[in-house]
Amino acid sequence: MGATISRSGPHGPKIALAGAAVVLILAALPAFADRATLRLATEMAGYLTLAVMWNLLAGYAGVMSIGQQVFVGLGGYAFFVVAGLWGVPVFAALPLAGAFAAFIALPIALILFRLNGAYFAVATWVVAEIAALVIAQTYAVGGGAGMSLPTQVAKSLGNNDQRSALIWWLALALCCIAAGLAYLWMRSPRGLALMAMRDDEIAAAGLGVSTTRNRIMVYLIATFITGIAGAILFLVKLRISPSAAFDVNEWTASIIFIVVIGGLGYLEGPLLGVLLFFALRALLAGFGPWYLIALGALAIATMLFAPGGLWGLIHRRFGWEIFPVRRRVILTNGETP
Amino acid sequence: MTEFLNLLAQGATIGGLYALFAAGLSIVFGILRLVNLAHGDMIILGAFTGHVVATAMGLGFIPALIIAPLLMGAFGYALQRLLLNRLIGKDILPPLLVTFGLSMMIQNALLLVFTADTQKIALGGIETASVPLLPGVAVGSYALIVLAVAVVVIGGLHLLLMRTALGRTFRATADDAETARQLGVRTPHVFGLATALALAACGIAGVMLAVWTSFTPLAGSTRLLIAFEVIVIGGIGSIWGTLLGGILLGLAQAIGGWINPEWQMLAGHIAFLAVLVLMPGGLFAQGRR
Amino acid sequence: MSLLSVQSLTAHYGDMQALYGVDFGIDAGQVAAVIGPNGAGKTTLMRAMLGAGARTAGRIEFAGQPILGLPPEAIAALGIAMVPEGRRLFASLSVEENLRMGESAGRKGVWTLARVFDLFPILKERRHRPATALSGGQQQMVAVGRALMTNPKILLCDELSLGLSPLVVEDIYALFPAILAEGMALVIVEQDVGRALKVATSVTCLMEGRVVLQGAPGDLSVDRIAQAYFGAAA
Ligand SMILES: Nc1ncnc2c1ncn2[C@@H]1O[C@H](COP(=O)(O)OP(=O)(O)OP(=O)(O)O)[C@@H](O)[C@H]1O
Ligand SMILES: [Mg+2]
Repeated sequence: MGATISRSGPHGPKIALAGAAVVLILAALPAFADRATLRLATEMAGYLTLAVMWNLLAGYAGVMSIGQQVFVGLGGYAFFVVAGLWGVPVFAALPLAGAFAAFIALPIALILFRLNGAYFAVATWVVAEIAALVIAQTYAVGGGAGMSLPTQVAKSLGNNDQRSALIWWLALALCCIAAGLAYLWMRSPRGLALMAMRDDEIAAAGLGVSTTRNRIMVYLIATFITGIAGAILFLVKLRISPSAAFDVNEWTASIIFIVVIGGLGYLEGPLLGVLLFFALRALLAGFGPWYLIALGALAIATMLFAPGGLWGLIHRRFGWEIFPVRRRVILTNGETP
Repeated sequence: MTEFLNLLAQGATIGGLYALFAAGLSIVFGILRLVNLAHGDMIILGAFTGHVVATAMGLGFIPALIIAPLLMGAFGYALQRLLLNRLIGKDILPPLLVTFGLSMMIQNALLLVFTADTQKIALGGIETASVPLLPGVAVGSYALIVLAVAVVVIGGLHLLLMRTALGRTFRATADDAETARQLGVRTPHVFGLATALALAACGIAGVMLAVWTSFTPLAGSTRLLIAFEVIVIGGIGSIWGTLLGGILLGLAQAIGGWINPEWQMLAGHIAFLAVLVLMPGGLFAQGRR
Repeated sequence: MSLLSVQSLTAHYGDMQALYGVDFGIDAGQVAAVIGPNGAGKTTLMRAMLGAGARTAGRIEFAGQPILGLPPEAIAALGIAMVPEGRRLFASLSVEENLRMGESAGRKGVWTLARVFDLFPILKERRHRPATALSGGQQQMVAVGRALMTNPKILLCDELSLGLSPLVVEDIYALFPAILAEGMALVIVEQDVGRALKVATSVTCLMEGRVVLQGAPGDLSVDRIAQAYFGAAA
C-alpha cells in the first residue's frame, strides 16, 4: 500500500509514512488500552469499513443502496453458521462470510441494476426486508430470536484479552484492506471509467465504457468487504438476531450519515465522518430523539450547503489530499456535445 | 373454501389502503422524478395529525379527514419550496439523501411529541362491522369505505392530471421542465403544488390508516415499502395502476398469509420481486415513461 | 432605443467560453437573422436572451428593463418566446395541450388557440393527437404555435428548417408576414444563409463566439459574408 501512495503526489512519501505510523500505533493499541476501548475501536473500524464501501458505491460508482444492511446481516449470519455450527476456524470463516454476501449480491445486482437509480435504492431495502423475514423463519439459525456464537468459537481466539486484541487487529486489517482496495480501484482504468459513468452515463457509454459490468464488479467488491465487516461486528457482539442483523438504521442510516458528513466522493470523507459520528454519539446519545433529529438535520444541511461534506470543505480551503484520486473525469474540450 | 374466499376478500379490500399509500409517492415520482424516502413517515405524520384533530381535539373523523390533508398539503408546499426545490437536478443522490434525513427527523420528532405508544382513531363500531358478500364470506365495512375513498382519490387525481390546466402543466413539466419554464411555467411553484398534492394524499392515507390499525411514530418505513411495491407492480407512472397494484399486493399478502401466517409480508415482497423480474415495466404500464 | 439590446454578452459552459462580448439589437417589426457555422454560439445567444442555458455576463435590456439574471419564466412573462432547436414538444401532451402550454406566460393578445388553428388548419384537424405522432413539419408548426400562444413581443426561432423538406420550410416561412403584421419582432437562426438574407432586416454573423459581421442584408454582399465565414482566407 505504501509504495502505491508514494507514487501519488508531491507529499506522497510523507503521507505514506504518516499513514504507516498511524496504523502501527493503532495496531499497538492492545498494549495500553482496556477492553472497552478496544471494543469501541473495533466498532469504529467496522463502521469505517462499511462507510468506505458505501462511499465507493454511492460516491464513485453512482450506485445508491439503502439496503446494505442485508450484506452486513448475511455476512454475520454466514459467519455464525460456518464458524459456529460447522466449526470452521474463524480466520477461514471470515472470508467465507464475505464470499457468501457477494454470492447473494450477484443475483440481486442482475435483477435490480435494471432499475433507475432512485428505484434501485428502495428496491435494495425491500431485498433487505426479505432477507430479514426469511432468516426469521429459518429455525436452524434460531428464527426470530437469533442465535449466540458457541463459546468454543470465542475460546478458539484465546482468553478475553487475547480475543479483544485479535478481533481489533482483524477489524483494523479489514479497514486498511477496504481503504486500499477503494484507492487502488479508483486509480485503475476501471475506476476512472466508473467515475466517468457516474458523471455522465451517456458520454461514458459513448466512450465504450461498459457501465453495467463495472458497476456489478464494484458492487461485488463492496458486498464482499461489507459481509466480512458484518461478520466481525457480530463476532464482537457474540449474538445475532434478524432485527439486529438487518437493522436499516444501524447499518445504513448511520453509514450514510458518516459518508455524507465526512465527504461523499472523497476517500478521506468516511474517516472524518466516523470520528464525528462517534463523537456526536458519545456526547448526544443521552438526548434520545433529539440526537437523531440533530443527525438528520446535520445531514440535510450538509447536502444543501456543503455537498462535499467536511472533507470537501477542508479540501477546498487548504487543498489537502491524502488519497489523490481524480474525482471528476474531465473530457477534452472537443468532446462536449 | 369460505376461509380462503374470506382471505381473498380481505386481501382485495386492503388494496384500497395500499393504493392510498402509493398515490402520493406516484405523484412525486411522476412529476418531480424524485423518490421521497420520507413518504412513509409523511403518511404517519398524516395519521398523527388526523389523530390530534379527531381524538385530542375531539372533532371526530370527518373533520380529521378534511383538515389533515389540508395541513399536510400546506406542509408539502413549504417543504418543496424551501428545501426540496434546491435539490432538483440531474443528480439523484442529494434528494434521496435529504429525504432520508427528513425521514429520520420526522420519526424522531413524532417520538418526542407523541412517545412510542400506539395510537388509533376509534370510529364507534364501523371499523369492526362487516358486510356479507356470500354465505360465510364477508368483508369489513370500513375496508369497503377505504376502498371507496381510494377510488375517489385516484379518480380525482386522474381527472386533475388529464382534464385541468394544472394537470396539463404537471405533465408538461414532468416531460421537459426547462421548456416549460421558457413558456412561462413557474416550475418552483408547480413543484410546490405537486408535493402539496402528494402530501395531501398522504394525509388522507394516514387518517384512513389510523382507523384501520394502530400505529406508532416508527410505522412509516413499512408503508414506504408497500407504497413503493404498489407503484412498481402497478406500473410506474400509471395512476389507475396504483389501485390495481394495491389490490394485487393485498391479494399476494393474503395468499401468503393463508399458507403460513408468518409469510404475509414476505409474500408481498416476493410478488414485487417477481413482477420486477418478469415484467420490469409493471403490470399496467402505459408504455409512456 | 431598441426593443431588445444585448451588450458585451459573454457566456460560459463550465470552463468553456462560448460567447466573447457579443452586441446585438432588434426593434419591433424587424427580422434579425443570426448566422454562423456550427458551434458559433447562435443557440447560446438566443438562450441567453431567454435566461436559459450558459452562465452569462454583460447586459441584456428588453423594453428598457435589464433582464439578464431573470429566470426564464419571468422573461417569458415579459414577452420573449422561443421556438427551440429540435422543437422540444411535450411528448405526453396532445397537440392542443402543447399549444395551450403557451398560455402559461399569462399574456393576453391576438394569438389565441383559434387564431393559431387559423394559421395552421392541419393542427386543428389533429388537435387531439399526441404531438409526437405528427410529421416533422407539423411538429414544427406546433412549436411555432406554442410560442405564439405566449403572445410574445419577440419570437426567437432556432433553426426552423432543420430536418424539414424545402417545401415545408417554404410553407413555414410564408407565415412570417402574418406574424410580423402583429408588430412582433423576430430573431431567426438559420444555416441557410440565402434564406436568412431574403427575409431579414438585419444580419449578425457569429464566428467562434464573436460577431464578425453585422448590418443590413443589402449592405452585405455574399462575398463579405463568405469572407466572414472563412475568416483567415481574406
Ligand atoms: N450544454 C452545453 N454544454 C457545454 N458546451 C456547450 C453546450 N451547448 C453548447 N456548447 C458549446 O458552446 C459552443 C456554442 O454552441 P451553440 O449551441 O451556441 O452553437 P450554435 O451556433 O447554435 O451551433 P449549431 O449551428 O450547431 O446549432 C459550442 O462550442 C458548443 O460545443
Ligand atoms: Mg444551435
